[in-house]
Amino acid sequence: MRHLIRWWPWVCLTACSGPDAPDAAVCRDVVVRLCQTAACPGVSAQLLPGAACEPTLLQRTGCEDDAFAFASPSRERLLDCREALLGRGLSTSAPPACADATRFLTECPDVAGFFREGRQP
Amino acid sequence: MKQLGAAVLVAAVGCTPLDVERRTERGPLIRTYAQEKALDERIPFATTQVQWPRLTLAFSSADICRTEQHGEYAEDVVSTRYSRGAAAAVSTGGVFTVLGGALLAGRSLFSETPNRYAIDERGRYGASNREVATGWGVGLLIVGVPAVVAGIVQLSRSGETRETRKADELLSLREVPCQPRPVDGVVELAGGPGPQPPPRLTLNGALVLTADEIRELSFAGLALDGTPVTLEEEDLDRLETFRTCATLLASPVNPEALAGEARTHPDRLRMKRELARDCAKLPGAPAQSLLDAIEGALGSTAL
Repeated sequence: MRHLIRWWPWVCLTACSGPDAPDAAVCRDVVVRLCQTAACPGVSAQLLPGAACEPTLLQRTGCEDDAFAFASPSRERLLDCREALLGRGLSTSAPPACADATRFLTECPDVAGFFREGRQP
Repeated sequence: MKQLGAAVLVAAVGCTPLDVERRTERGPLIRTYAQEKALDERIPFATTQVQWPRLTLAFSSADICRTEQHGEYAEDVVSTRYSRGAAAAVSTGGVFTVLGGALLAGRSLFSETPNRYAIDERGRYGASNREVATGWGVGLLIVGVPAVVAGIVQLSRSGETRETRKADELLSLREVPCQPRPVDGVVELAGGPGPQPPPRLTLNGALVLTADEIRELSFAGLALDGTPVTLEEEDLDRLETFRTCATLLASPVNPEALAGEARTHPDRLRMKRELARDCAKLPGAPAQSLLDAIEGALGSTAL
């Protein structure tokens, strides 16, 4: 019984989540969510995605490369800011609300700059 | 180790309280017995004996003996133990256990690939189907197995037990004088309306009063050396009868007067007849002639 109690958090964690997603996958997830809200007021003005939003941002940030790794902003910073886009769930099938996208751009200007200007050399 | 775990599990859930209803059924009477006990409270008693025209009061000091009559009978204590939730626990826990076991047993059938369609707040992929199945299987087993064990333990402990024991009941209680011992002293005849008679000394534990003496005496109770004397009902009745007869039998029998009383106060004469009958029961009392005269007077009136 004691073992079960001690292992319960582990059991819960393994049942709720899997391994760490690579940086490229996390970055692509944010790109998808941002581009889903590209039509929202102010989003396109800040991100300047052009006609093809996702390819543009992927190319701009370098996320299309599976070997992509965060430098600046860091992975942790991006994950913190990404939480604003998760109001409607973890799946990308439901686009974020415009208010969430606006909050993302407002509260995380450094991350927004990363997607607008791309990786700095 | 597994056995130890099972034992701990059973012990942990085996203490689940059961509802208990107890009722007592009285069985047959086994025996009756008497229990005597002296109270160590010696008090003076007096008994009466009549040999007309004398009444003898015999004084004694006696203890009070308490006689208890007990009945011993068999008594069944029936305890019914039950748990309203046992069956539900077994069925629900059984379903959970089967589902959890099936998920664990068949976990290899589920994909090991993480859910790449969702990344959580910490940047982790969603759990694979196998991990989800494992988590649910373990969770269901954690809930289900104790429920099943608790239910089975409760069901096994449910039932009716009957315990037979002896019960004792006090059927009657009687306190009587016992271990009498003759005692001498100064007898006071007190409580009457007239002047108190002078105290008298007993001789060999007895005081003899004649019908003539008692007719003149006015008293309601007896005391021996200042302590009230207890007379049993039978002795008290005999004393009162003697006092009544001492007056009733003192006058000569007058048939004419009785005949006149039969005409004027027949009820009073009938009462006198009853008194005369009581007097006739006293050994040596010359009540028969009075009784015959009353019967004659009442008979002639009836004719």
